[in-house]
Amino acid sequence: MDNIHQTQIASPTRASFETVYQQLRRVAKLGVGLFLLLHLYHIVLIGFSSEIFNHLSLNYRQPLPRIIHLSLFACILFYAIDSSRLLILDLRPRLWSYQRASSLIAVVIFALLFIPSAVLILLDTFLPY
Amino acid sequence: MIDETIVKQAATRRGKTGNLFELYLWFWGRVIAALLAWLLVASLLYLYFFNPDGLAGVNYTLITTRWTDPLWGVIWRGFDWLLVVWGVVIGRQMWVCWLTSANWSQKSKDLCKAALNIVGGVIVIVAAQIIFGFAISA
Repeated sequence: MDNIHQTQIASPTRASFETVYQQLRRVAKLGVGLFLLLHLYHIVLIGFSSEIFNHLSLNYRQPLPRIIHLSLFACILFYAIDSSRLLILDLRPRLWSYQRASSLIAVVIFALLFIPSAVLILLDTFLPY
Repeated sequence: MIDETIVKQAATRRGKTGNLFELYLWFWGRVIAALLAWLLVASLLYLYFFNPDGLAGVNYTLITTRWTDPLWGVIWRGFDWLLVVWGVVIGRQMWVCWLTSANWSQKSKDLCKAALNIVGGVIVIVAAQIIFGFAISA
């Protein structure tokens, strides 16, 4: 895993935020990997037949598979935001001094995009219309 | 925009080594991964909110209808195949990362990496066969 947070640690709060952010990056990458594994599983099932696919694939009408899918979506969204953040920092190296601020902005963007989506998806799960 | 200096600086920050071609490959791989991640987010949001049955509507018919669409079918197939390739790349990265820290001999590590490359290649080819070889009559 890339270690990109090598800046001087000034306070325990800063240290804990950056540590948590690093952990989030690891979890997000793992989640993306799991989602892509699930995708591969579905592709292989399609290779067999419609009966096998509909029997063995996750039933997203049930709450648990839906929550699993939502968690994986969170990982993918975080990964997309974070990888874009790192690319922007790489393309504009003078912005590296704002690395911590960029991590905070990434978290805010993630929350703004994920929370409404999650609420709508969970409402759809528990209060079907 | 992406020049040698940018690529080398980014590689140094992450401790990546290799010749210039490998560093460019690594950097462009990151760009493609970021684009694919956003495409995946967009396709999932479309699935959640614009698919008539939402997430619950994911079934064999939905996927095969996408694949056999005369206008968008090739794009859906290509996208699904690229996701498989991306998954193989991420899976390989994770295994290699774990292998690097494992207390094994260099020969065993090289053998494992070769096996990973072969398995990854087989997965990509089989997925291509399923996705691009799919026909309604199948």
